[in-house]
Amino acid sequence: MAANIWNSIAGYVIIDIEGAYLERLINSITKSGIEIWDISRRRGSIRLSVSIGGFYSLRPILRQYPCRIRIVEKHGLTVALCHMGSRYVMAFGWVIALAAVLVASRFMWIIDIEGCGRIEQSEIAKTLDKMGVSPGTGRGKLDTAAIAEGVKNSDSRIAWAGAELTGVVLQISVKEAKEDVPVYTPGEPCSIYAAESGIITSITALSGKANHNAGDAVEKGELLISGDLGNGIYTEARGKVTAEVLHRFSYRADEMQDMLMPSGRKQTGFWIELKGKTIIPCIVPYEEYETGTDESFGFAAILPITLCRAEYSELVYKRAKADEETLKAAALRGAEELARAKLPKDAGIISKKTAYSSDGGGIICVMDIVAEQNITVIGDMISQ
Amino acid sequence: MKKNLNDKRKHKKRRRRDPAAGAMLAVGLPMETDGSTAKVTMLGHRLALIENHRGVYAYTEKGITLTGPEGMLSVYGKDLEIRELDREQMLVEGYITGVTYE
Repeated sequence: MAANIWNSIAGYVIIDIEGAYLERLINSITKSGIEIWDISRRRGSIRLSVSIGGFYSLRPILRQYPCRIRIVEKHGLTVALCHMGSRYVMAFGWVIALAAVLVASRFMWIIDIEGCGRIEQSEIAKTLDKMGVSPGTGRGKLDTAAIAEGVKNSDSRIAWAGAELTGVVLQISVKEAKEDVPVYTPGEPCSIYAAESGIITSITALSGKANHNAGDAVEKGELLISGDLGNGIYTEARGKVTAEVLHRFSYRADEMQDMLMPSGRKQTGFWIELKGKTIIPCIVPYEEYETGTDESFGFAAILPITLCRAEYSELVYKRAKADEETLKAAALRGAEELARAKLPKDAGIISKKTAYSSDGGGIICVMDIVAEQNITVIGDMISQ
Repeated sequence: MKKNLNDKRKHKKRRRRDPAAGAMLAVGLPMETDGSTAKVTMLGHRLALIENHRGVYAYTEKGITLTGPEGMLSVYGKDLEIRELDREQMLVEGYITGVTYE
């Protein structure tokens, strides 16, 4: 195998030798130490492979025998290089490319920053820029220890920073410091009141005095947590009060509604299926349509392909008198939209009831929702 | 008894003609080590390695005949090619149907 690799690099030729006494010729070649291989017999000739050096050494031997030699193929790196010998521009290009790679590898081209969470990568990049570190800086000019120290000291949120130069990539690793828990500073004395009427489910007073307990019914505006602690001591009342609040939403759906109705236009469409899957779909020019009768024609005897056909009727929105079911659905949709808009985002819905009533051709949907939500609102101490 | 005596005489004669081979056997070395015996190693019917040959005598489409220390050695088959060849070893590849000594 090593010999094969060497021959492929150094080069070898495949030659045909025609003439007489070919066996003696082979023996002479072998005895003279010239290496030959892949010898095969053809009609009146022998084909063999020999190295390029061996080929030149064959000449004196071949003169001793009545034979004719013909080069069939040439292989090897040296042969390929010979072909390229006259391609000066290509050789020049290779030299330029190699030189460019060698020169470029002396500089740092990529800055890779990892470990950023609260801190933006752009902030670290600006810090590096101020330190004179940017893509295109020479590798010899980069002091990774100084860069790491500079990045760490640039922001108090960074607990540790590291810098490593690998090839043309500068790897910056950052470890952020844990967030400080802010120390709370009390503000102006105040109290907490009920923003909605409801039944309290939980009341937690972080500061101040709670005026109610869980299970109490409160009205809107009632005092929940007082900032007056007595004996002339006042504080900023803080806490969370959740209560079950009843919300009522009502929506009237008019007798005349926009409904999808046939316009009268029809079109026949075709599509092709292969083993039940559509391979060439049908393009229907209508935005809204209904499908009429459809049929299919198969070629199962030859191929599992089915040609399908259907009739499409266009539907358009028209204002018409709706039936009771349609009116109820429209009224319900309207009430739900109102509920979605007005209910607090953090409210948890406990129960929902809907009731319908007729009103001069239209239908009214009344939706009662009981939701558990935060009902606190801060008010002045004076208003107690 | 007479038969046994004749066999012993023949064996002695053979040893006198080829003392090197006798010495190889006595010491326990392979006989082909001294180069006086051709050795054929076959791998299925695809490859045959012939060692201790003395050169190619004939190479035709039907087979390859080599000269060996003890006579002619022929390898018959179809599409026979000499993959490697040097002064003492030859590797033949192809569909080998037989190896004969002549």
